[in-house]
Amino acid sequence: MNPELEARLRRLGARVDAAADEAATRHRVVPLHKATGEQATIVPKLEPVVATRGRPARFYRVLAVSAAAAAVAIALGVVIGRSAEEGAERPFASGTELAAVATSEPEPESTEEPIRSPSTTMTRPATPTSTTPRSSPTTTASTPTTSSTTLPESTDEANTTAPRACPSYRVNDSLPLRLCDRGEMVRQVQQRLAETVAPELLVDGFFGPSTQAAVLAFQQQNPGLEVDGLVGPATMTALFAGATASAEV
Amino acid sequence: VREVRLNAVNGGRPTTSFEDFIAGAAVRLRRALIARYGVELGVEACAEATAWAWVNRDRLLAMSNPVGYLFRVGQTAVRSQTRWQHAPLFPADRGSAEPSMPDPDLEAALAALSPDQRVAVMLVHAHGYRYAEAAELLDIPVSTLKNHLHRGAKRLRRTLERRS
Repeated sequence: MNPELEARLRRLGARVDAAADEAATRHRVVPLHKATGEQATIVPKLEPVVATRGRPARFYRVLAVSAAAAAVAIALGVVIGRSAEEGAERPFASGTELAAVATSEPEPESTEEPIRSPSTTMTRPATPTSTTPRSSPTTTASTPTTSSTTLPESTDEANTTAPRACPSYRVNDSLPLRLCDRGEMVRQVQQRLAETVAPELLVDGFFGPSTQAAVLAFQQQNPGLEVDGLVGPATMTALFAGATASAEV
Repeated sequence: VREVRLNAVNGGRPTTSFEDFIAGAAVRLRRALIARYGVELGVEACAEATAWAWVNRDRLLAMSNPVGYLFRVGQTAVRSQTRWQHAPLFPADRGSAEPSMPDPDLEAALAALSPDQRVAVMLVHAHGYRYAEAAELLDIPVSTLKNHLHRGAKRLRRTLERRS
């Protein structure tokens, strides 16, 4: 190995180290307050690899919105068709039945109940219908005889546009594990948490709010740990020290 | 109280020793895994190996060559992850992402090596590990490492001469 090539290789080694540090920080350092509120500003270069393993949160959101739109469109067509048939014969029947529904349900403000829309009670008044909860808001607008004061405007925010805790999850290999991390280490921590404090915790390798709650519970149960929701060396050692201790007993 | 309990669990070892071991091993592991798989996958593989180390630390501390075993763990992690994907070449995936890479010839020549040769050359010549250290990290005998180095360096030299 001649010295010129050796020097080139040394420089390459330094560059590789720098690139690795940069990649590690790219995965690790996420401004959490930003990640929870709005879209994460940092788009990591690892996205193609992450996308095959991460949760497709945006995909589910798009799916939910499109399903809601389809359901609304179908319900609209049904309502228009039925009202065109029956509207001339019994114009006030739906209003009275709606009043009956409103009296039988004392809480129209709750999110799920008023979605049992006047169109379905109009067509099938006897059965308590089990329609999808997304079909209400435009049907209330389309039926002319409904007293729309008893119905809240729209309840779709709870289903479609609720902010997820983490828009994206990032690989983390260093010990302060925190909200919105993911990876094998998170999975192992979740497994230990499920064995100790939170038996119902889903062990999936994603550090979500439920995992954070479990971490907080574990830290409260173990005096000497700082209750901060982060899995640092102290919490990690306490978790797996318990594992080895129970295994020895 | 907690410290005492942990020391008892750890067999009297101070609790910081395992953290120190992991911290030191992670640097070497990351270099080796990056030399084998590239930066992005190497960082991920190092993360998985570190996580495995934390969970199986009792097994690990009983081993004669824990770092070499962790290197295998990282390789297994990458293999299970990239089975259905194209394995990225060592520098080629970074060359396009970073236009300021000043030595494309060398990186292309390194990418043409076999993975074993590339890891050996990178560890010994680029990062400056001694033969014994690199062989322990890769969990291979020193003579095998020398073979990889010799053939890798020869091929590297030829490729570079042909390019220039």
